[in-house]
Amino acid sequence: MIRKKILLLGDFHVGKTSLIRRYVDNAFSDDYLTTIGVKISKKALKVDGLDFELLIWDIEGATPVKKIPTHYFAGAAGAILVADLTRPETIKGLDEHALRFHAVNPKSVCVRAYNKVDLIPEESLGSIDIPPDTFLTSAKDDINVSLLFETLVRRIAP
Amino acid sequence: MIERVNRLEFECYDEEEIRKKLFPLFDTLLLASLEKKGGRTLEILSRSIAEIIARKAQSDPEELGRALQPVISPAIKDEIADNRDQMIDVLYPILGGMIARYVTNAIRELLETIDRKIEERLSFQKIKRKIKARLSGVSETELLLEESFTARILSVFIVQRESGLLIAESNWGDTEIDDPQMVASMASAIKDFINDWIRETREVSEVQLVSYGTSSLYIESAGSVYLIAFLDREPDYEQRERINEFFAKLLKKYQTFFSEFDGDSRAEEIKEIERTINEFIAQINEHVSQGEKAGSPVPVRLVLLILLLLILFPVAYLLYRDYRVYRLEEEIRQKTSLEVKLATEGDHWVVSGTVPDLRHYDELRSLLSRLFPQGYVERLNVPLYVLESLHGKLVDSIRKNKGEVSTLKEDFRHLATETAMDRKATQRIRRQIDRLQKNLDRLRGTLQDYQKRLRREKAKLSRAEKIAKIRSIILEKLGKTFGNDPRYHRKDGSFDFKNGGLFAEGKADPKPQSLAKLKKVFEKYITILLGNPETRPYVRSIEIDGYTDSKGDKETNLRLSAARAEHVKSYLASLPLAKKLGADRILISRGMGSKDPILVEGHEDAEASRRIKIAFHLDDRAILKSLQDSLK
Repeated sequence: MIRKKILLLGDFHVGKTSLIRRYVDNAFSDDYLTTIGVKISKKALKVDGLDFELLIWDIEGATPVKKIPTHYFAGAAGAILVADLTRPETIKGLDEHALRFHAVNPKSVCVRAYNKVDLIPEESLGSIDIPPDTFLTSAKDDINVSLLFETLVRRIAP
Repeated sequence: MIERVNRLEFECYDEEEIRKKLFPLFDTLLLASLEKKGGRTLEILSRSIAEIIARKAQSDPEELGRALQPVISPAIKDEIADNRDQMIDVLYPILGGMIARYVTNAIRELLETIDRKIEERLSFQKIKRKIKARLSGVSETELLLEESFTARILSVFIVQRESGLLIAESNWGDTEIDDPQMVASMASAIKDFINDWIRETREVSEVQLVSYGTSSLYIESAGSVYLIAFLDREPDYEQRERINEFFAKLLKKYQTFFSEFDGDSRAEEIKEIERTINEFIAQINEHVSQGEKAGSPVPVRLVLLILLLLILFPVAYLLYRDYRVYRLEEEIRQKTSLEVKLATEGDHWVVSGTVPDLRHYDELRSLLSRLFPQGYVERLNVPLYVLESLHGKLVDSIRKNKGEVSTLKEDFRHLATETAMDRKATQRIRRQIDRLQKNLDRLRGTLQDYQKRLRREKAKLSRAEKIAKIRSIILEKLGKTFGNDPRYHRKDGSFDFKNGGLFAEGKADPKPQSLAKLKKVFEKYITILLGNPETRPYVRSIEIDGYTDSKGDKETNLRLSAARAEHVKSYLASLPLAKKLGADRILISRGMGSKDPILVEGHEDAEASRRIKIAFHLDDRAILKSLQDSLK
């Protein structure tokens, strides 16, 4: 069993907690998110014949009155950067999250989730530029969620 | 009243009789005066009563208490019943003080009892405690208290400091913590949160002890890990010290393993660490169960044994030395028939005795130099007449050979002068040759170094150039192979399988007949990317994007496109060549829905839109690192 700490980062209300809720086996109460700024969940999965256990740290997004608690970043093998497709500014904000994450973990990897694809009109999809390692996801309709996590694991696998 | 008193004086002179008659009059007078409100009697009495009670309280408090008790007790009782809250407010500070004093007294009594115990018990443990108290500056009583309040360790976690990943865990008996991985991570998060908060508010180092109910978490951090001990009560000073000592030993042994731990729980070291922790927990908890046994026989026995050894060792050494002296003297006697005495002075042997003549003296010296090759001190006596005879012989011999000796001496002097001159010249020339040779070697070495460095720098530069141009190199190779294929995009090296009729409408499985074409192209594609050691390390992933046509709703299309990509990925990953080149491990599938439909003259070509796109992505970090390494 290989255990890895991974983070979910992104602005406030982009759907990080919903993505986790859709995916994980076991989780601590959501109350921790509001009290100490992080909630930890667990997911076991098999990738390329190897058993993995992910300890997923859902880190509270920044709000006008709260800073992102970066002391939780240390020791993470990878991160999922989450943006809300209905709020373009959250996509722009991902680069800043990536910079902040790489400043603490220079050797770690990131994948991106453009979440809430279920809320986007079909004709708007064509105009969205989707960079490599970026997934159109919907926690509500369970679109590309597993692929997102598996891809990250594949990237951090030894 | 005055009249009545005057009359009494005339009626009677007996003092006792007057008192009997006068006192009731005073009582009546006092009562009348008290009943008359606003009178001065009440005011005077009020002033004096306080003073009287104060004086009585000082002279005989017990009597006063006894007198007042029947009145005061019911009064307080009634007052508490009527005004409970007010009474509590008033009495709280007093009661608090009383309780504190009571507890202090109780603790003092307890400490005194322990002190008495210390005095009464003469044991090894006591001596140990006394020394410890003297060294640490903590009183013996406090140490004994600590000994009696030892906590039991239920579980121990070793957690990686940065990631919060649990490296090893060990539990006592049936104790088991549910989902220890999650607990370790959450404990780590809470610890980080508290530490962060503490650092922001005050200059305190780190949280170390967390108590919940009757249990405690003791946290000790060092290096790349920290230890969490779950205990059934708060650990005392000594116990914390023991945990710290154990942790330090563990760190020393597994420092490298801890710092390089990458989350792989299959490592052999983890089992070893867990076994070690288990032994430690058992040791601590056993100690708790047994309690402190004063005068433990084992340490006393050990001390006695050490003392015995300390006494016996010098005795044994002296015996051995005497035996050796005896053996050596015996050997000398047998070989030379001389009686000599041997002794030691510091590191040296001393030989003393008398030798009858020079022959025996020579024999003895030869034997002694064999026996004592490191040297010895000689204190032998040779009779004077023997020495006189030897001196005479030597004088005669010198007289006889005097002329020959002088001639030879002169010849030797000449020879030595000439040899010395030649030697000096030869040495000078040789030094010059050596110097020149060294300079030449150095210059030759420098030249070789420069040549090597130049070759190295050229090779580095060439390597760096190749790495920097890796994308162009790959695109050039792909262009040579697929340049004429309309599905190939020269710009980014991706492949768009849009004209093969890969998928039937609404289906996620590719059509079998189209897979053969896909296979052929894909095998060529990955051979270029991964079949070459120059490019392979830099290819991070091969992305397979699935697409649908614009028919149907968006959610269905997104799901269908993801399923198409996943089907193709599984098929391609199963190809033997893909496995051989490691492509199966870097394939990634994504569902893109009906994004970017294929339009022909303004109308969608639905069959073409139902497609797969394959693209490669380079690992920028690997490229940067190789560039840095190559230029080092």
